[in-house]
Amino acid sequence: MKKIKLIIFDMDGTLLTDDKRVTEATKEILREVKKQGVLLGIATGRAQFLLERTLKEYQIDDLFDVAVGLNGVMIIDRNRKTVSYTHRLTSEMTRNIEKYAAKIDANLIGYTQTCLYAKYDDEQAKSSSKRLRLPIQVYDFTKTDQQWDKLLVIRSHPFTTEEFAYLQAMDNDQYHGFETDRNCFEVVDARISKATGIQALCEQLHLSVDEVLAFGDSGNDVEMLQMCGIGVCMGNGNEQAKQVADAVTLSNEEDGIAAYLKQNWEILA
Amino acid sequence: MKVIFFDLDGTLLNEDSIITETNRQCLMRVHQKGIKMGIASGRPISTIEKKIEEWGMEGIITLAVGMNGSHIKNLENGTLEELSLMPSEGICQLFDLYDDYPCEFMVCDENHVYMKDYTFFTDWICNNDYLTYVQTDFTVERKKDWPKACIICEPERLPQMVENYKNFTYPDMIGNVASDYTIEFTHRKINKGIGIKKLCEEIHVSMDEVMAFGDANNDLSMFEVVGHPICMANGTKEAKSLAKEITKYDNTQDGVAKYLEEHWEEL
Repeated sequence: MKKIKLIIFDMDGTLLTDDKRVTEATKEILREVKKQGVLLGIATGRAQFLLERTLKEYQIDDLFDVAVGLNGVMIIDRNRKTVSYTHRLTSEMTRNIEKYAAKIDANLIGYTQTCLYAKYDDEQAKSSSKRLRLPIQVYDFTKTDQQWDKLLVIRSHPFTTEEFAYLQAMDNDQYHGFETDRNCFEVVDARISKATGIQALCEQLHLSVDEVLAFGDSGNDVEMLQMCGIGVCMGNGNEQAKQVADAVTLSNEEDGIAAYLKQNWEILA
Repeated sequence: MKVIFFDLDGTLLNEDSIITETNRQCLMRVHQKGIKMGIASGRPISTIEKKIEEWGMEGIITLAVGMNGSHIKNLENGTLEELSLMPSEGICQLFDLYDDYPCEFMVCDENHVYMKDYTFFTDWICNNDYLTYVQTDFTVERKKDWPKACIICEPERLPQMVENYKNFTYPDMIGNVASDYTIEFTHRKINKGIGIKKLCEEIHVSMDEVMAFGDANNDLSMFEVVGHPICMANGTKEAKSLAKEITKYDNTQDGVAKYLEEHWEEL
């Protein structure tokens, strides 16, 4: 079996405790791993700017070399401050998604790292804009000629089961849509996942996915845990993630990452 | 080609305001060809230098025109040259003109950004341009001269701000719409073109051996002076009409790298 050259961490429920901290024990073990020359990476739903901010807040911005952002759309080299993209929604796909949003009277939001674009400047757009710290621009998606990393079909009141079923019809071989909240539906290119993001990252780093160790706990970590050389599920993880993982460690509240790495130090390159 | 200059936003940087790995690697190969490179931007020189360092391109990108031409620096031999600053009299007139308007006023130097309130824009500039925020009501700042001033507003309000600019009569300052929500002001006697010319004179390169990539109206002066002005596919109408060629791909699709690769033998 190949030695591990890159370790990837999901954030919520894995690297972070339930009250959104990185414990001293975790920081300590990561520093030791880094000394060995192993690369450290994050797999997150955040884009580059927000990730930088988050890492600074948790005081771990000196630990991570790379990241897979936007759940697989964006590959981030933190040392070089560069990005690459895997698959973005084309303008044609976007115009089509707009029709779905229009049919159920929902807002449509897309954003870059410099601006948030929304069909309507409503409550959802305003709160997203605040959270991401981006200005809002009202935008006509029916006329777009741009690519988009992801789109949010979003509304103030929750979608009904029928409306969700209608939106689910957007899940085909071109794009993949999923519920992120009762009033929010996210759409990305069908090929997007943390796993495909990690594959793209490995190509860039000239590594094989067999040389990657991944830690995760839930839903969108499953493919990554399956694909990587070693997939470790946190004790607090869900059943599906535990089943596909090569090993299950203690929970995020019990320094599960540190526990696994200490016990399995010999797997590191 | 002896020198290639790149604008940042809308040109070398994509819509996420970051350089792609593809563009960066292409520039590394351009360097191996023995071609010098420079950045011509509205951003401060200090910001440009930090980005060059992050990209691992010290000694590779060696020329910088910042603050839309107010500041220039040959990074290989060290000192920043300050060309014309906007006089305090003009700054005051600008400030007073927009005082009752729904917008923010900003001045900056190489290290700080001065604004009344900390907004999204302030946050962005501090993080992206590596400047430190100074909270101010402008009583002190209006008495000084500045390399750069900006009006920032909600995108829907931009037309209103542009309309108000028509009432600005101070002769030595001009404003350019820099993005969907900003108007940048600089001294009339400086621009990117003049900055590039000065730097190229210093390194004994003639303009017909210089290529420049840009997209917006603050790049027009640069297009007028270089021998090979190239406009991005996402550029403004004016920029496209003044350029010699237009890239096939825009800044969101590695337009710069793709153009350079296509024209590799001619460089």
